[in-house]
Amino acid sequence: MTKKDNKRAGIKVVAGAFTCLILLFVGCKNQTDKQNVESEIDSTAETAKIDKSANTMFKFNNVVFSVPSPYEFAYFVKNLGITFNRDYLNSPKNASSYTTSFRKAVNLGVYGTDLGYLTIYDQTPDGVSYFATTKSLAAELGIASVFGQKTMTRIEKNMGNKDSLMVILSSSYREADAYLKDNDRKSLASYVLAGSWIESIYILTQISKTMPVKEVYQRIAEQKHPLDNLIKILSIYYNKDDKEFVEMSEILVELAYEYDGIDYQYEYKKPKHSPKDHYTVIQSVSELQINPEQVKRITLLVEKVRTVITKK
Amino acid sequence: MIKYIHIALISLCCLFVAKQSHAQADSIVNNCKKYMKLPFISDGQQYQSILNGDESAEFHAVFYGGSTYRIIGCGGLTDKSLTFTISDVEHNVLYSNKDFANAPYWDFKFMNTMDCVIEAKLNEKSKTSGFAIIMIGFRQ
Repeated sequence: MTKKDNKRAGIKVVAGAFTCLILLFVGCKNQTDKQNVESEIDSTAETAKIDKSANTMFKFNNVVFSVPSPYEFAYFVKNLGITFNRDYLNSPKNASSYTTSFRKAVNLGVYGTDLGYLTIYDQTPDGVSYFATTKSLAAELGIASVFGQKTMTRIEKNMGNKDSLMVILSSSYREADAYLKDNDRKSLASYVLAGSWIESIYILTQISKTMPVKEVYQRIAEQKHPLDNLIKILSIYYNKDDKEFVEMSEILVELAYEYDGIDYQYEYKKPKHSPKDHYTVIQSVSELQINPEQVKRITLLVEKVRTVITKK
Repeated sequence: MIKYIHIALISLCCLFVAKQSHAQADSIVNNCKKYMKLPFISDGQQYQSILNGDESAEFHAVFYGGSTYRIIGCGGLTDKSLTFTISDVEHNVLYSNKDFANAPYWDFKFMNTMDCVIEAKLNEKSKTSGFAIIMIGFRQ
């Protein structure tokens, strides 16, 4: 066999293997699309092989930190009877000045929180322009499919139904979060999370200026642990060359030091289970003590970090 | 030449395996999602980890006092493939689905704000490795 023949034979083998794999890919995709659960990979041995490779691909850590939902915060604010205030929000006009991936991702989180706030207060016209901004930032980050036509149609159909809109919004953000994590862009997912948390506490601290009540102070104090979790998430992606990220992180660390001054007491109490209802009441007692001076200092730091991420 | 063929085949196999892993994760997510329905709203995040054998994943979460949450745990294509245990920061176990026939979801009313650790493990009877996915929803 000449070298040329060898090359041809090699090309044939590669082409054959490639065709087989394409067919397997298509088969696999069709299975997923049809959600044919029965035919999914259920062989233990086969799964073990897959996961060994997936480990290197996904680079999961076995410890995951979470930050409470910005949508939950919106319900909390509305339930307190606080009136709507558009001035708390980041204007969609600012979005065009966000040119780096960091700024786009962090503000995708900011606008997500604003959207939740607008939706809860039935501010549909504003909501539409915020959604358009969100969609455009998502497209620039390569996750347009999450906020695509299908989602837009669902939103149009559910205009006026805030509960359904909140479901669509939260599931869209969950899908964006999963997409970024699955595609080795976990740093962007963490920036989105940071943006949504900063915007939530920004709105809360602004409310505390005009409504210095116990419930608002308490919810500000309750951000002690979520902030610790957020810093742990962000620390994985710390890059001293990314000035915007460093600036945000440094203020968050400063904020965490301020939160260290808040006293936290905890006492375990046995939970009460109701198996019939799939329900458990967690009765443990915790208490966070915050004073007006601490709230003022926290407010200043939150304003500072919020300016860093949203400025033009 | 043979060396290049090997490299090409290995690369294609890796791509195939990755694609299958995504498909596997998608199916598990769909299995989880069916329990996330009104009045519960997703917190907008998807907590996932990949586990081999006896490994466990830890999900650290904060729950607000006065709120009710639904925690869903999925680790396979059928229900009850994941065991999850919720503990407080002092390691007191607050709930384990092992005590409730490996229930795939459970609702929790928190009387006070708490920092909790959700530890997830694959059910040894179902799988030896795979994805562990936790979803958290709050009651509006």
